[in-house]
This record gives sequence, C-alpha cells and structure tokens, in this order.
Amino acid sequence: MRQPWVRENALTLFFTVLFVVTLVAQAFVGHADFNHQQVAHHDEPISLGRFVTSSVFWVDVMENWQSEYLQFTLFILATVWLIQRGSTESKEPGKEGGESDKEQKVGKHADADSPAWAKTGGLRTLAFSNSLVAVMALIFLGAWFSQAVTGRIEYNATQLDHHEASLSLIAYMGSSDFWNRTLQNWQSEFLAVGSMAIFSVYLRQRGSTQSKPVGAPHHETSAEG
Amino acid sequence: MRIAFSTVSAVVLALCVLGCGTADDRAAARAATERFYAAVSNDDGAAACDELSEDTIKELESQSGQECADAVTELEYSGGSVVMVEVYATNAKADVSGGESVFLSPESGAWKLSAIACRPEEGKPRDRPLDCELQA
Repeated sequence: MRQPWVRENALTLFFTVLFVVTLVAQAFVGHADFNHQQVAHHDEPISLGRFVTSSVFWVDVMENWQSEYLQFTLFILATVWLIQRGSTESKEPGKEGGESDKEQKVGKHADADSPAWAKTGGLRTLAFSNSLVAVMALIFLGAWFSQAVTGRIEYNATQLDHHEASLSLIAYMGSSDFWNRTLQNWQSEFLAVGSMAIFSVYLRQRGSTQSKPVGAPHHETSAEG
Repeated sequence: MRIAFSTVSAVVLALCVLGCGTADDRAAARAATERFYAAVSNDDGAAACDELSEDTIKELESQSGQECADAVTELEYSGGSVVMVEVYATNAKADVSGGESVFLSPESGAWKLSAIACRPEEGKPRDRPLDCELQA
C-alpha cells in the first residue's frame, strides 16, 4: 500500500524547503551586509530588489552551487572505479567498473518494470546509463560559468571603486580572485566527501541510509542501516 | 536530461537579466559624463558641479578654498567625446577620446561623477589605480 504523496517525497521536500528558506535568508543578510559596506565607503545603500538581481548576490550563490554539483559529479564517477573497504559510500571490493548488463539490468536483462530507455539498448541506454552524472556535470559547468560571469562584474565593481582598470571575462577566469573563490569551495567539498567515506567505516547513525547497521562489522562494505 | 536543459536555460536567462539590466545605467552614466564635459567646455561651472557627487564637491572646495563652480573649470581636462562606458553593480567608468576617464557612482537616483580627469600614470602597470585630478 502506497503512502501519502508528501510522505513518499519527504526527503526531497524537506531539503527543497530548507534550500528556499536559506536562500531567502542569505538574500536578507547579504543585503544588510552589502549596505553596511556601502555606508562605510560613503556610498548609497541599494534596495533588496536591486541586490537580489545583482552579481554581488549571485556570485556567492553560484560559487557554492558549482562546488556542490562538482562534488556529486566526481563522487558519482569515482565510486564507479574506486572503492573504500568498509564504507557505505563504496561498492564491495572486486566490483570496480561499469559492471555487466546483467548486474545493471539493461537490454535483455531488464525487468518488466525497468525504465524504457534501460530496455531499448543502443544510444538511448548508453545515455540513460550515464544520465545522472551528465545532469550533475551540466549543472556544475553552468553554475561555474555563471560564477565567472557574476564574479567578474563584482570584481570589476571593486576595481572601479579603486579607480583601477576592469578585466575581460577571459582575463578574470585566469585571475586569483576567480580561483580563490573556486578553490576555497572545492577543498571543503573534497574534505567532506573524503571524511564521509572513511567515517562511515567506523561510525554509525542508527536508521540512516548513510550508515551501516549499528552492529555491522567495520570491514563490511556497502551495507545500509 | 530535461532537468539539465531547464537548469541551463535558467542560468542563461539569469545571466541575460544580470547582463542586460545595466543598459539604462550605461546610458545614464554616459549622459552625465557628456553633460559634465559640455559644461566644462562652455565654462559653466555651476552646471558641471551639478554632475559631481556631494563628496567630490566637498573635496574640491576643501582642496581649492573656492566654490565648486569657480574651481571645477580650473582643473586640467583632455576632454573629447565619450568613447566607452562600463557599469559594474554600483560603479561606473567612462572613457573620453582625449585619453582620460571619469568614475561615477549612484547618488539620489542619478549617476554622479566621483572622480574626474583620471589618467594612467607613466611607467606604471595597467593594474595600478589611475591618477585623478580630483576624487572623493
């Protein structure tokens, strides 16, 4: 028997609500912080509407989005070929690689209720087999490019404030500002993923899919609690 | 894949909104710069001061010991027509054909000149601040 729609989608709904609430909160506190800086520099405060449509706001949003989607893109790809013995984030040792059609239930090995593109074979099945990483990578690249565009505008605003020359988009993408914004986000994502992979070997959270059962041995890989 | 295309479309649309939103600002900054240089070339100090920010007027009067309208026309300008205007968030820069630039910022809903007659200093690299005859 199926559960009510809200309960069946509770995880997605929970994080969607959290996302919207925190994005709105970021807009309000970011606006207050920006205007504080404006007043400190004898410049005029701007409206909330102007702030949330400005690059000053969006560069901070985009630099975080791109790093999150890069994290998942790399994690999806890395877990195809790399394993961590004892981790819930890993396949069992010996299963590295794309696995057989039988294991992946594609083509003639598909079940009756498998997605249509898993059954058809050819390019459609190839595309569907890689659709998760493709979507994540596209969003990463889009957000990273958006970070470059909005970051350049924000950087050039500061350059003009200091009576210095502006940078072209290409020049900005080679600048220390662009790479400082990028790498400060990347390093934190890689740390979080790496530590999750190894922590899940030895630590437990009862009832979570991200943890082994509390009583599972440390060497047991790919078990969910 | 539909989600990916929707996301990319949203990003492109957002970039367009961000990029296209400054067209009016560019026109306004250009017009303020043109009015300033026209006033200076006509020796109309009062009209030129109308285009300066309050802090810039205070700085000029403090430096010169004169009223803005008297002092502003005594500064050195290369002059010429506006050849390029850049607007980034709350700052703008206009280059004039004589080889100098002015910087502008919003004040009471209009773009006002906050630094005038700015030129690159001899021998300095491009990433150094321009040297301005007057700045707030």
